[in-house]
Amino acid sequence: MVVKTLLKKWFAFLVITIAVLWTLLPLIDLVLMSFAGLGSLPTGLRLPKRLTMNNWRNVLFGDRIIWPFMLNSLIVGCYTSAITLIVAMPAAYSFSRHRSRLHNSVFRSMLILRIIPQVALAIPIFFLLNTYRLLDTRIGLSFAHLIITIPLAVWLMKGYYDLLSTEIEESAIIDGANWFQVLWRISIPLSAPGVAVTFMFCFLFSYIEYLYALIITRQSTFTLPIMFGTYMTHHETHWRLIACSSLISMIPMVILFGLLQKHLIRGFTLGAFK
Amino acid sequence: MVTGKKPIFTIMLIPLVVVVAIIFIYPLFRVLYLSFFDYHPVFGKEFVGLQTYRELMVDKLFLTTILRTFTYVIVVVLSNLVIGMVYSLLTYRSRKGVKVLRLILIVPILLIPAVTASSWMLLYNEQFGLINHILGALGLPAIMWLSSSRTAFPAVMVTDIWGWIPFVYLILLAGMQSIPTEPFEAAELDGASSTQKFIYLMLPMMKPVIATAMIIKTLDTYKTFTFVWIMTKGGPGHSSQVLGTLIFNKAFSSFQYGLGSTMSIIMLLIGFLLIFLIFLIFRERNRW
Repeated sequence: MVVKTLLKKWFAFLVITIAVLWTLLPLIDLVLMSFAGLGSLPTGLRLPKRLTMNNWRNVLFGDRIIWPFMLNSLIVGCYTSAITLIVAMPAAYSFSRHRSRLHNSVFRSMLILRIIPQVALAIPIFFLLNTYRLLDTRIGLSFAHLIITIPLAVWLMKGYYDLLSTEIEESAIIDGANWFQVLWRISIPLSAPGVAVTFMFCFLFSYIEYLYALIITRQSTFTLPIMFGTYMTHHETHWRLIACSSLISMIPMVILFGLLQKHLIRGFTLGAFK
Repeated sequence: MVTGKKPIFTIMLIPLVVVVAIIFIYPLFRVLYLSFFDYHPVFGKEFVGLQTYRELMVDKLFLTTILRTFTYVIVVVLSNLVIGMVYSLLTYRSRKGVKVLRLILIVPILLIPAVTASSWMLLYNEQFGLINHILGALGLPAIMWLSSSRTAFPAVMVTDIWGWIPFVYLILLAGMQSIPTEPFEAAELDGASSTQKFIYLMLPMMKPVIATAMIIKTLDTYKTFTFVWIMTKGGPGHSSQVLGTLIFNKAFSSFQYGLGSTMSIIMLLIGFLLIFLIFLIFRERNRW
């Protein structure tokens, strides 16, 4: 019996070690690479022979500066989230407070929209943006990102309004408030935490999006995910720059996931689990 | 106002309906329309009806790509579920150090997919990649992971699995933590083994959670594009081609918009069929 528990413990320990190693190795590799000096690429997990801060300097302030791309990503993310909320909030509110056949079918259709592969809409979206001269603009890319964020935001926001009791709204009406006052003074302020979470989720999905950014952006509007492609040319791949910018690109992700901790499951499952 | 029948509730839907019409309905009809044409920006547009569909039905590349996409979905989703389950089992009870372990295990989700792809390309690198280095240390020959048609596809799948485990893990973990403990205590008293408790108690109680994770992950994996495109562009040859990259390739590399549209429509139809099948399998869970 003692031997058995001991064996079990060792087995769990072994599994944990393997899991931790395979999870962290790619990241450790990136960190090592980001400090590697010229002519000394890290092999294995040993420190590169010549350590340098040059790669970091190059990416942070030098001629391979990352900030314009980061700025593009942040701006597109904010545009996307803002437009999404303006469109999704009133709809989500009315889905939550009112039931009719129209409301039900529109709400259900959001789920079907979530299923549509982005690549299947890529051709018409490209043509549409081209017609209105929105290719190579940040707002054009945000527009395409709505395809990903709108169904998500409608489901999330409806979930939040469902949690909001209608009693406060009812008593405000009895006190003589009109519908606009109820909405503006009570419902919207009370749903602020839900709005914040939804905003961050939309931002997150816009920030990591690759396909639409690839077809819509050009040099001046490249977002972070697309920037990595510019480091890989036919002649060489700038691994050190990739490593530095990869690590920098994680900063917004760390902040977002830190703030979203308690809401992750809800966002990932379209509010199926709370 | 609050729950009554007021036109304001219908008015509130208008922005959403308008936007959905512009970004979903119109594009869908445009793709359907284009799928009946042979359309190239230089050679012009010619109506061909169902011709492209008929050709694709016997197109070997297209059919193998569909099959490969299914392989991709099955391998990636099942691996994610199994590994996510193992991770959850290791960390669902609060013990010393478990919080740190949980944090470590969700690290891959902090990398945007483009970064995940590049960092694995670094690991797979022929000359200085860590994987070949380890092989070398073990006295094994180096492998051209991403430029050999035998290993490119599995290599990309491993990357996808690594990148999305935290997603499945977090859903399963939340589900496992919300299971009541009493049945397990009762089973303990009756002398059930850990394996028995897992198979007869844990799995059945986790079923809705597993189903949710599986459905969402299946749909997302079916759309896969980023990892394959960055790491191999579907190559070498077409050995790692999936539907997402094939359509992208036809539409935006060789500008065959008509062909790309037809493929898109077929991809959509298969997607809906997939959903329908999943709904049949998990019918008792009507939330989805």
